[in-house]
Amino acid sequence: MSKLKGQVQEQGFGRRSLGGEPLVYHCNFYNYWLQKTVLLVDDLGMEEIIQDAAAASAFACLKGLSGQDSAQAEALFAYLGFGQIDLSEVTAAGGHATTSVSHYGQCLSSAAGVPFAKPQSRFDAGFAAGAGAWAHGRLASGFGASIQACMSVGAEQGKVGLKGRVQPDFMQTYGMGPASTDARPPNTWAAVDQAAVDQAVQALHLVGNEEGLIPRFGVMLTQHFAHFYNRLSFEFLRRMSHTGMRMAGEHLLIDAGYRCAFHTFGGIFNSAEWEALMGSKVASREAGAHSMASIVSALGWGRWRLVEISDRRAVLRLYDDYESLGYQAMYGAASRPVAFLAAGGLGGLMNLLYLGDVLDKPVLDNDYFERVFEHPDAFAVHQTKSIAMGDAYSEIVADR
Amino acid sequence: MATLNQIFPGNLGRLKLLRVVLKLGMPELKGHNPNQPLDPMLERRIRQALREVELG
Repeated sequence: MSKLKGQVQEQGFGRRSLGGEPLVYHCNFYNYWLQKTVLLVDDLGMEEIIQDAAAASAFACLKGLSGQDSAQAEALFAYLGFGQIDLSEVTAAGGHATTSVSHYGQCLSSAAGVPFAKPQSRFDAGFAAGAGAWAHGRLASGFGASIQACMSVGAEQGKVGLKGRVQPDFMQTYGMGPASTDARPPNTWAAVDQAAVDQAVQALHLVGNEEGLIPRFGVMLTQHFAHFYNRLSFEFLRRMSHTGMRMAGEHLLIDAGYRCAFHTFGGIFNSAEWEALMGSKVASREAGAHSMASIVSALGWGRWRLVEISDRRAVLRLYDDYESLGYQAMYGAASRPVAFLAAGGLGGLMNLLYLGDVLDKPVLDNDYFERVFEHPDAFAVHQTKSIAMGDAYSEIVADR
Repeated sequence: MATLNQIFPGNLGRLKLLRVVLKLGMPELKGHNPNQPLDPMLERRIRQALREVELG
């Protein structure tokens, strides 16, 4: 496997970019539940959005990096934790790409817990299209992609067919988007200061291993394109806006964030890395919440600051959260808050700490998840401010 | 004849109901009395949609 030429840039406020594209860490649980949610309604055309968002993101990232060749694209796929892709059979006219290892093809099953009825590797198909287009001098929209085989439904390897196409109107990424405001995150209690947490997370070197995967904290991580997530979430809601089901869609996006937090935060709380960095300094649930907020702030999601925290209520302020910035860049000012992932994340964090006693290191299995989720006194979350609506920061309240 | 509360118990059930609402394209289900027995035809559609959303 070739080595990626280029490196992630730290952009301040915890934001990270590669080739000018913002990156965020997310796990197989979020990747599964987000995709499942946006594909629930059959006639929204979201399969095409998933593939096009992947193609646009991959193309833009590669364009921002040096080198116009397939090896660089293959290295990018592995570096970000998506697996191993072979683009050697792609020419300027088309061809096919294969995946011998695939996050989407192989790692979503542990999040789903049940067999798949349909291929899950739409991201791989889009990536192959965007990367192939970049490597062979076509426009970002230059290839249409079709999934010919997918490991999620039993194939030995993934296969994506590519055909040249002409599609003048194609989605654009927004790069790092607008800076939010001059607002600075307040100093809140910290077991370890943010700069040290940022450094510790960077030192973990959370990039694809020899298989192109990132198994860490009991989940499979990806360093993913913020544009991809935002395009899926917001285009899904936009297309739902006249169906009378938009609110239901918002609830399900928050649920995807909840499941992400539950498994990833839960895994971090249980990890040796947590013990090494935070363990002895975290003597209460409140300290655990502040400390997790500082770790989250190093994942590319923006800065998380808990300005109020008790066993009944928490107030989270978000500075440069990737959802609000992405919405603004793609659609302009929002009429409603849009930090769905973060809202679910806060709910998951509070329930883990105050209902699930996660600091006692429980086994994070399905029984535990259901017991906490079904608790009659679980936290509910409400978004109260949003950068996307012109506020200086986004704000989410969790209470019960 | 079952009720929505019987088919979708608890917090996880409420989320499954939302998925079924989207799958069927029936926002009016959210306003349905959760303790009222469902019309058998509707119940069959709901159970079929539930099987689909419970697949990966």
